[in-house]
Amino acid sequence: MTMAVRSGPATCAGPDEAAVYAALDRVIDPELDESLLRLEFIDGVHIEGDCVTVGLRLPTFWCAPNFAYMMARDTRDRLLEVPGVHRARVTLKDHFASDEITAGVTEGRPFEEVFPGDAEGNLDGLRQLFRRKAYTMRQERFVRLLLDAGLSSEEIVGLRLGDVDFVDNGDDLLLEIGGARRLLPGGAELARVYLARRQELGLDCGAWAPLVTDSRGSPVPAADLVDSMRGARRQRVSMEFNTSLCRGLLTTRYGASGPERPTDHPASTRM
Amino acid sequence: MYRTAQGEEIFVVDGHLHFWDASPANQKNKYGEGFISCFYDYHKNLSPSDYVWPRDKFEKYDEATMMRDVFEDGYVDVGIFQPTYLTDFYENGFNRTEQDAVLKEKYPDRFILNGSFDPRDGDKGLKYLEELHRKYQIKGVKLYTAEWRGESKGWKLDSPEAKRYLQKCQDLGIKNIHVHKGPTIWPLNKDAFDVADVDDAATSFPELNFIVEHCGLPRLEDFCWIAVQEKNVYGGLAVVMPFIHSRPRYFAEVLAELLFWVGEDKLLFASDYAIWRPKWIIDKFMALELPEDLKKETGVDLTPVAKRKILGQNAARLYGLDIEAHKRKLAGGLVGAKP
Repeated sequence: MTMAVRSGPATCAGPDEAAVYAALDRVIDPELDESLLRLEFIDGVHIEGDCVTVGLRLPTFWCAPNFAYMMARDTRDRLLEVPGVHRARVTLKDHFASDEITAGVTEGRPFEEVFPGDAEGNLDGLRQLFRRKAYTMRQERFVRLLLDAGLSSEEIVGLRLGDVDFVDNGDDLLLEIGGARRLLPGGAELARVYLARRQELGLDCGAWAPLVTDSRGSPVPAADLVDSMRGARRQRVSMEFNTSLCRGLLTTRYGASGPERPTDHPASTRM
Repeated sequence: MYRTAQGEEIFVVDGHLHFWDASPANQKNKYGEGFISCFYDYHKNLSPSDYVWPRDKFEKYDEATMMRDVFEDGYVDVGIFQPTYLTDFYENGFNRTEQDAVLKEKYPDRFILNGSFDPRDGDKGLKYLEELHRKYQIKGVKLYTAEWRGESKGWKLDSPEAKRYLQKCQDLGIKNIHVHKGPTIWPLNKDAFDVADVDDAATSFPELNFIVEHCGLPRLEDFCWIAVQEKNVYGGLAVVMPFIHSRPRYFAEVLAELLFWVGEDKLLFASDYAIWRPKWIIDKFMALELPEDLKKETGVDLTPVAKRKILGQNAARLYGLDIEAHKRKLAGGLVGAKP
């Protein structure tokens, strides 16, 4: 059962299915910096009137409860932002803390209340720590592209955000280097994600802000760029390795399925 | 012993072996079932298909299977037992020192027997540690900081209670502290995998060696950073090694990072048997060359010398094992059983 015919007056129509999936795609696993939808952690989306129920599944029974809670809570919060969604229920499956997290998130309770005695505060610090890690990793990928394109360290650290322009085709970038313009084919995706992470971290995103900074927003001198990228590479390799492990364990646990998508999955139903 | 095509002998120490009982009869609750299920998923996910065991065999395997897989087929000369108690999940524990000791007693030259401690056990636990040392002359302990104990969901290495135990280890000459980071630990709102407490302990106890199991995964980046700062921090390659089969590029990338930051003198081979079997891992490791682009970018290489160190020399050094003398000891029987 997939896309059912929508009946009744338009005012009773529930939320737009595509909008629900777009919202889910914005929820990321903080440790892996990847969308839950793309990681195939979303298992079953049910839209019933103004209520959306989403299943969440993770690579292991033991996945850290703080990250599991964060993902479940973010899923609920993003869903509630979709016009027409007034209730959101996230069911965490096959996890040692399934019941606590499912109930706590559905009721909108804070983490430290769901695990009283086990936590000594909220998850803000942990979230910020992983935003910094994601920023570092995304920047390394982008700078690597610039280095591979033959830019020098001086040119790279001299770039400001205003020197980076997206080409209309959506794939390429235009860089302004010392008064000359330079096309960077295929650079748009890396730049887009990098800038999004930068914004989430709360760093300066103005046109005059340096393109390359450390995770606190300080500029990186040209002489330090290689060392700085060496450290960032460690971060990227670690995250890529973990992503690979988690994807593999998820497939072992649940079989290969492909990500949840609107209307093509039996679990996606519209009443 | 691994022999290269040129006939060169390479002495192998497997840094992480288990002899567990996770059979349904020994499982205490859903957590015991969940624990072995998780191990089994790791096993299925990363093993070559012809090395995958049925679930019931994986839950409990016998002595003959282990001796064949590790020593006869698996090239291993000496294996290190790393116990994992989990007494809240299993009636008789998952893999206590005493279970491993049965095999150590029978094949004394094949095994190094490590013990364990849990600082939440207080004075009683200190006495137990002393007893393990007296009874088995242990030279190392395996610590699992995420182990549940009643209401507690874990402990940290830099707590005053843990330091009492580390001091006791130092006093007794138990020099090798293998640390395994698991996912749940107090306080739950912080990053449970964080290895900062290892850093603190390594600074406080410079005479002890801290071997961080699976190189701090999933926080490899933090582990590398600590290993650069602390001379007495080592990386155990359990869980990293099996990537060599199904995800060789990721394995090469991680190994290049480890060689760059931690160095070939501070990495220890481990199969994590019975999660994975040493034979296929060692075959692939000996055949591996780092891809050119990685060599160029990181400036490191996996030379035959580095392989030899990682496979055996580094662990032998930490455990005071004279490789040449030990080879002579083992020359007699296939698995070195007591006469």
